[in-house]
Amino acid sequence: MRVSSILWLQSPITVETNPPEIFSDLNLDAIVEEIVAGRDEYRLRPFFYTSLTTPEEVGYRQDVMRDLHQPAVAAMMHLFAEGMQTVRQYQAHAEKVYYQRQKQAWFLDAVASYVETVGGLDEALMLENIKSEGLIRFREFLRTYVGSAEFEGMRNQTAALKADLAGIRYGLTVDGSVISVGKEFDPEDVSQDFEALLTRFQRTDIQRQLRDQDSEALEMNHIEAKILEQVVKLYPEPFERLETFSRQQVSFLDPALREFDRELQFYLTYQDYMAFFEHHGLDFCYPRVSALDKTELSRDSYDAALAHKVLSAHGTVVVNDFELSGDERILVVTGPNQGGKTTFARRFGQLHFLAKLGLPVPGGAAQLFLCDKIFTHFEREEDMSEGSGKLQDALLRMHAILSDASPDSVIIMNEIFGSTTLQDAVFLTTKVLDQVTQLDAIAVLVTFIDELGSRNQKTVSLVASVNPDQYAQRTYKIVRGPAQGIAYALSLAESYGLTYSRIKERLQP
Amino acid sequence: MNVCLLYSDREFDWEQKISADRRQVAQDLNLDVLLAAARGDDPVLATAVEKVLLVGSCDLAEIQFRQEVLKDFMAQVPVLSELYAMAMEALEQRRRAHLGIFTRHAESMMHEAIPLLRMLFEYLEKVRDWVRAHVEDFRSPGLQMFGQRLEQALDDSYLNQVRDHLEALAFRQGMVFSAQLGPGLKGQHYVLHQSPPAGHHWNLNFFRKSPETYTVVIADRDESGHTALGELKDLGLARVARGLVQAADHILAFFKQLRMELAFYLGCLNLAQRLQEIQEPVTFPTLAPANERVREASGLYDVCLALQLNRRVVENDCNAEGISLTIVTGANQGGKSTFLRSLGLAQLMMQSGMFVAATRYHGNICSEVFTHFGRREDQTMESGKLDEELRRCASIVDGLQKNGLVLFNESFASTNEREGSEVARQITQALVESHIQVVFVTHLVTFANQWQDSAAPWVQCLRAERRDDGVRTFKIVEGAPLSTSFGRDVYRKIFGELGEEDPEAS
Repeated sequence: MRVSSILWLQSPITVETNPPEIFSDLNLDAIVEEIVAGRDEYRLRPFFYTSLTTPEEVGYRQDVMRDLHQPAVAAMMHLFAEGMQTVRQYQAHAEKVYYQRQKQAWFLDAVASYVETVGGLDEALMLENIKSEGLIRFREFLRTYVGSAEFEGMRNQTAALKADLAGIRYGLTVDGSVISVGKEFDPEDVSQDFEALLTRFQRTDIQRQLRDQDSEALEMNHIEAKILEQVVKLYPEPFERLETFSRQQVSFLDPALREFDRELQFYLTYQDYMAFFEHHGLDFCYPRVSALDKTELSRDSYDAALAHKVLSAHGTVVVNDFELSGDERILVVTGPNQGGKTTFARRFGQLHFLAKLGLPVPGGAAQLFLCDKIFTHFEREEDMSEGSGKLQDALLRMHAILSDASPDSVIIMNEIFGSTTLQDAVFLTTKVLDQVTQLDAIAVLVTFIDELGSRNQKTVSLVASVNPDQYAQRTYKIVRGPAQGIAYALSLAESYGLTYSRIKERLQP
Repeated sequence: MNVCLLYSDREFDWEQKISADRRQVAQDLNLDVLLAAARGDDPVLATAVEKVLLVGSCDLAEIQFRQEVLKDFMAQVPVLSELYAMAMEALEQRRRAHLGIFTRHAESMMHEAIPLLRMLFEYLEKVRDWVRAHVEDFRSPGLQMFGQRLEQALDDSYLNQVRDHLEALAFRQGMVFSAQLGPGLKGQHYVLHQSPPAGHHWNLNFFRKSPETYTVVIADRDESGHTALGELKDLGLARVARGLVQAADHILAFFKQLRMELAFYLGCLNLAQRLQEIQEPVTFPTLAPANERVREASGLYDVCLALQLNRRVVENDCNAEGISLTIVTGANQGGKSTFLRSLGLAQLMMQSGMFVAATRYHGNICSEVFTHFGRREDQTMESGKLDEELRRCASIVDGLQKNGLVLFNESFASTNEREGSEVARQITQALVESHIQVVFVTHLVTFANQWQDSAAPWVQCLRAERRDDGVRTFKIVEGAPLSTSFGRDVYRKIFGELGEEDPEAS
């Protein structure tokens, strides 16, 4: 029996194994690396390299994600993933250890975790109101699988064996180099008596706990193995059953569940990523996507790569809006250095790419055009050539983009001709802007040339300006219209929240 | 068992972090000078005094509790040194014992911990006997309760019981454990059981009675086998060994705490001694609650300046009731900063439970002291300076709570007079209205005059005194701000005479 995918509306699909070219310009590489960090075993990168093309495919994933956002569903899925990890870990232990009986014991634990994990997910899923096509199909598959006679048999045998082995307790006496192993011993625990006596010196400020030394090494040494052989003589029956069991159940793990476990991580890891931002008061939202309507809107969005860095250093993140309506297609961003212009451009590209993965995007609300392809043109710092050579390279890249782009593309240009004279830059940038206008593609143009914002009815002028409301951080917003000047000392005080009214607010009891 | 000589109900936390703002306060008030005097030959004294000063207490009862303990010790200086020495000796045992916290072998851990514990219990007994001998002379609740706690925790029958148990842990008759099968069938949950009574080869007999017993014998040549056996024993003994090492840790922590809390008081005694040598007075302040506004003092001086100059220094009197904002203006080098520091130091010392540097002091406590000291030599229009001043100020505002005290010294002078005044005015007004106490030493004339003109009953304007002949007394007295800073006085002193007629000299 085959289970359908929770990632692909129509399987099978070929996934990209290399990151798209735009990844480093848009800092998507940092985002994806942060997302997949610590989850190498799932090989998730290709999922993040392969974008979707139709609104239906996007909707299929958004629906699964919405289901997974219900706290109960998220919890059961995490439990499932952890369970499957435990299964793999125990399998690895069984591979690694030397003594045959130890191998069998770890194998038993792997199977026990598996039946518990899979059975648990089946039960939990039945209780929830699942709405997405992807998860409904999976639930049906799982019901059938768990209801099968093979699964039931495996579950019963595992439980019986575990209980019998756990019930064994044995006594040991050590006298010189002689160890005696028997079934009986005096029940009194000496260490507890002594601890009771010293409790009046117990202090709460002592943190050091000497760690428990039980079973830290996976392997047995030969003395432990010999003692175990004596225990087997004392209780032979369960060990015989264990041996049979480990021969019969070699292929206990269903391949469909293995794949589900992997695909699930695409969503779960992204949820974790979102949670980091949401914890700091930044939103994620499901973008409305359209392949026809070029109206765009984003509220309170941010560059996720930068925001992650800033939040990790306990900084404050500035959110921005953008909007394209009617004929508007091209956002022309000007303003002072360090004003957040490049960040704006990256954010614009990130939002479009993440939307094409069928994922929620940074911000409180978003409506985005489902473009066919995203192009970026950023100044290449690693470019060794100077002067005319550099300009030529830049122009060649621009030309390639304009040849490949369609009216349904998104083009992001950041200080494209910074290496030339002002006169040349004005001329060339204007030319490029006119071509993009003619193409009717959606674009962002970051430039130091002020007059381009009002070039035609498709261009919108945005300015990076000083933000007076942002306490303790000289940070900038990108807004429509010109910048405003403010008196120096007081505005600086204001930026630190040190005006009369701001202090009063902050010191409110 | 707790020490509780700084708080009646808990121990002082020596690990707590001192915020950057507090460090700044210490630096601005030249606290290092005071600490050097408290230090004597033992750097730990300075550490303890510094921590207690910077942490402070906002609880009247707590402060009084410490004042009482300190008074007891001041009455009998050698007594405190004796007790302190005892705590030090006990801690010394730890170093001698080489306690094997790094070894993982339970057996060797036990061999080291048992003699150490024996020694530590001897010291506990010594401390108990010492307190027994002196408790009659103590008046403070802190020291009386300390004596009672020791008596309760360390009765003779208990000490005997501990000695017996330590003896029994020698395991002269072999060890008996039980275990279960854990993950990977390795033994786990080892439990140590009662050893047979002395003189009986009990363990072998014990199993002989049982129908099934199997034996593993480790050959003499099997070195790894003996190592494995050692590990097995360690598992069985782990819990007992842990208990022993922990008990030693806990008792050592008691002595460490005792030493630190005593170090504060010993540091205070050293400081009092040094001040006595230069004939500077100290007094125990009387306290008013944080929501009152009162500062009445006679003979208040900057203790750090006196220590530094090694002689008596200028004294000021304060008479401020219902005052939330104090504006201090006047001549350069007229004693304004010194006055401001003396206020800050008195506040810190008072709230640590220490005496203060004055002949008489009555004042309200505050939730916390902050200092914001500008540096006049940096009086440029450079943006970075104002930026830096504002950043520090914002950090102070972030940490402020109701009834805090902020000492501003020449703040916001790094921009022009008009803008600086406006920034200062807004900040000051907002702080005072938010129940913060402010003392502001300033040359910003516009700012100072605004407050003078406001005639608000909660504003007090003070001025560095300058006699009519131009001589500074370094005293701070009541008086409205003047519009010049007497810079020309300094100039005249250095250059002998003004080059040309000063238009403002009349």
